[in-house]
Amino acid sequence: MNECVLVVDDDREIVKAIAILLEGEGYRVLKAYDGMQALERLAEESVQLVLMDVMMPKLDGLSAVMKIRERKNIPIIVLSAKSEETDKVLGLSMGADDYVAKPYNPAELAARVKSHLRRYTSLGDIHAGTSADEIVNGRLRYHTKERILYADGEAVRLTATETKIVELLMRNLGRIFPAEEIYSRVWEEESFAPENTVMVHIRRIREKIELNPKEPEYLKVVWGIGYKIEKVEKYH
Amino acid sequence: MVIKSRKWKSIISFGAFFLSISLLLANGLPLVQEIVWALRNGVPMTGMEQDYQNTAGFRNQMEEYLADFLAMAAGEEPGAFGYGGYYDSDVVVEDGILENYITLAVEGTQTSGADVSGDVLGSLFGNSVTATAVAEQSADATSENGVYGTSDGSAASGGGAQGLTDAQKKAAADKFHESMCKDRNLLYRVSYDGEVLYTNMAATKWRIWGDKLPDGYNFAMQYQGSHVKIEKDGKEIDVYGDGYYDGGDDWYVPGYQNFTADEALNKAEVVMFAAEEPRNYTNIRYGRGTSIQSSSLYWLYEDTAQSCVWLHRKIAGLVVGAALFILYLRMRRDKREADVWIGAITGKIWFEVKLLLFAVIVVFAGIYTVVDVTYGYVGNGVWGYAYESSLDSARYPVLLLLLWSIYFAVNDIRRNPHTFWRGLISRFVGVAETKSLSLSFSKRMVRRFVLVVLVGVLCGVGAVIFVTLNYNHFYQYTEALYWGSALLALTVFAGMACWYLVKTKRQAKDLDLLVETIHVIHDGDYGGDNMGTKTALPEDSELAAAAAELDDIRNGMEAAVEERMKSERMKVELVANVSHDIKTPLTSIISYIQFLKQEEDLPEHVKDYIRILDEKSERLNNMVQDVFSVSKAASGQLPVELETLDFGKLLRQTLADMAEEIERSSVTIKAQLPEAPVYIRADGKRMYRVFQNLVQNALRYSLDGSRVFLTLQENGRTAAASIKNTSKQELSGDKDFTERFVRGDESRTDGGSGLGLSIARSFTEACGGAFQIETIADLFVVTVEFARVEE
Repeated sequence: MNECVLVVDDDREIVKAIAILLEGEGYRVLKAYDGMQALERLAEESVQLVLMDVMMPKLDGLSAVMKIRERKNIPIIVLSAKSEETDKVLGLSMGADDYVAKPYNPAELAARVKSHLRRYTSLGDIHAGTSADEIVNGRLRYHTKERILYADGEAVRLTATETKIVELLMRNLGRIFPAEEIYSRVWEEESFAPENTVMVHIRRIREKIELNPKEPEYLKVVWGIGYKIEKVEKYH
Repeated sequence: MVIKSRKWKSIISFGAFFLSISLLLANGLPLVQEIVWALRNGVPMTGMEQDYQNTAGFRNQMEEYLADFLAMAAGEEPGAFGYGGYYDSDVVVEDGILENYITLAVEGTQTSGADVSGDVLGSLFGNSVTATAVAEQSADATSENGVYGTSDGSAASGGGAQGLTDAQKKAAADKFHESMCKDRNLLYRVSYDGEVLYTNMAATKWRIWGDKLPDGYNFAMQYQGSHVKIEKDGKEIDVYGDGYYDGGDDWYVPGYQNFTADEALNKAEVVMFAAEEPRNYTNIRYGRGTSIQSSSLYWLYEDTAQSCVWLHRKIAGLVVGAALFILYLRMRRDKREADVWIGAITGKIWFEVKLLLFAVIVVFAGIYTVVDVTYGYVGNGVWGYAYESSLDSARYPVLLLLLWSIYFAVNDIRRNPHTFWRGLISRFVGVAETKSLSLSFSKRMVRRFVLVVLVGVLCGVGAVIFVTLNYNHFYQYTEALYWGSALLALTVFAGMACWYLVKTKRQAKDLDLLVETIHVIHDGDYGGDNMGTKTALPEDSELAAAAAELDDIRNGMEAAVEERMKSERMKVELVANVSHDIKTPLTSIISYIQFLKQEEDLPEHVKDYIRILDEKSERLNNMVQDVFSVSKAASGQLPVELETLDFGKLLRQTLADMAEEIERSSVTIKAQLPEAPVYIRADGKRMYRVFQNLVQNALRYSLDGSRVFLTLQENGRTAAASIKNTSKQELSGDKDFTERFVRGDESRTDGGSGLGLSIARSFTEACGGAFQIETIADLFVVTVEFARVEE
């Protein structure tokens, strides 16, 4: 698996750091230091994923993303020091597939790259495998018959209780379940103070399925109300 | 002469102007009048004749005396001859002087007879002696025929005495003589047929014509043989001229070809001497037919002398006036200054006073002129100065008064363009003037009200007066009139009150609008649309100025707020940029530290260094994030998604989420949270962050082994969560822990950014909650309060 990742950033040290990180993961890394270079590289070589900084000379990251999107469907991860929600939304609306804030967590970045590449390269498989027994939600795919949760196509190893919780939430994507309800439906008994118990399981599931458990994308706590698995459209 | 002071110069010039004009007019006009009269009538100018014996008055008097004495000589009563009755009847009485004379004689008679106790001036009308005699006689004779004493002029006809008996005629003549004889100004001797009948002179003194006159007498008149001889100052005067009487300057005495005396008079002889300088003689006698006698000749003399004095005075006045006028002409410029000065003085007087004064003068002058023209003796200058009536003597002062009034009035109007507006009425109008915006609002209001009250009182008083008056009148139409007036007064008042009401209502409305605007501004609405926000007051409102100012303030505040927002935004932008600029190198640092951490064959102490770098870079990262959050929240730009959530659940979730951390810490958390949901509206993520910070704070700064209490209480309409922990460090009570970078200990060696509480507070407030910190000794209490809502 020698997928080629194009890393674009005007900060050469960051480019180098990412290159080291990704090469350590076994990817081929192309480097560019501004938007124009990035477009040139893309024209020259076959690239499977782009890591793009936003603020760059010549051609900024978001414009470059738009240009790339005109011709290519490859995953683009925007890497930016701007961590605000609006920046994130803007980046995604420009055609980026993901958004990672600087300073990034190397492990998380690597995981995201891997996740996007897997789904990009095995796109056909995912869609081919979609059946009535499967609930597909972004990176996640839950097979109701097998009662197995796949993250990026890989089966996630969950305990029985965790699986029950995941199944409840995956079957009701976007719906918020109070801790009491989860507890009564999963453990099938009344609980006096279910919050802690549920929360512990939620945290554990998160660590298994989320790329960054501290900022979960799928299994979310709705503070003051309950828990849910976010319905993610982006990856379809 | 050099007059230094401008003030004195102007005073002198104006004085000269005033006096010269006054003198010229007061002296010149009478002179002109007299001259015109004299020219028109062909008589000498008043005052020109110094010898009274040359005056027409003297001539008339002597003619009259002659007539009376001739009548007495002929055995008739004095005055019987009158004017030709006894003379030849072919004398045509048509001469103006003659008629004039007759009228005067009659009037004199009336005056004396009707008002005997009247003032002596009555005698000024001339032949009072004669008049008195006639009056007395008439009193005697009334019983018989009553012809005398009436004003029908029968006395002048000469035939009125026909009914008298000889004895009565004699008595009248005796009485006349008695009254005349004591007046030494006229010596006379009346004889008939050589017999002296009446005389008041020594018989020996003067026997025949040509003898020397007695001392002090220089005029002699003799009738003898149907002819008259006159001698003056020793020279005989030609009496008859061409021998024909044709009026004019001819002596009115018999002896002309066409003016002869009765044959009975041929035997009569009358001699009269007139004194050169007559002395005053007055004889008043009480009794039946009280008589006032005074010497006619004296008065003629006096009159002539007075006329001379009068003329001299007038001329002197003219000369002085002319001199002053020349002085004025030389100082014209200074006088202009005086005009300005006078204008300034008159300008201060109320216009009404001036108007009243002017009107009084004009009316007075008008009435005077009418009286003067109707009753005055215009052109009686023939009688000289002493004959001028009181009306006449006031004619020129009145004229001057009028003239100067007009002068000052014109000057006032010229110098004071606003003279009409400096008066009582204008002052009242000014008081009533409620529109002027120079007045304060309260003044306007009060004035308006005072006006209404004033009009009300006036109308009320008026109405009461009208109604009261009504009871004194019995005619229907006056009753209606008075009731109508009373009703009108009340209507006026009602109208005024309505006007006041409308005005006040409008003002109150405007005031409402203004107050509302103030309220809106107070609530923080500065119009929003970048200037130009206007309070919707009508242009002509009395509060328009205030509203405009308020709008200015509003727009100013809007601009200020805008400015502040802008600077706040810039601050956030700055922080954002700075944090971005920090993050970029931080990214490299963190990345390479990660690589270092993966290096295996490193000495332990290097690994320790790497660990420290890792920790501190992580903390730096957190701080950058926190600073960014705080600055954003402080500038009000923190986006919040408010939703209804269970406060208790939020706290439980937070505790559950932080369970591991809590487990690791040395303190225990005692949560007292109600089972039943407590709903509030807030942003869950933000509030999670708030309580995460608070719990972390408590874990970090609590005394080891102590308990942290987390409670949620419902206080009526609010729900308050509070975290109480016992501080490790001693707390100083006056510290604001929510200030950025403030921490319990000043050394800042622990892991916090110092922004935890600051973030907690700004996030809470962004969500609409209240954040409060209390310290009781070492007990640190944070309360987060939200309004409760229904689910």
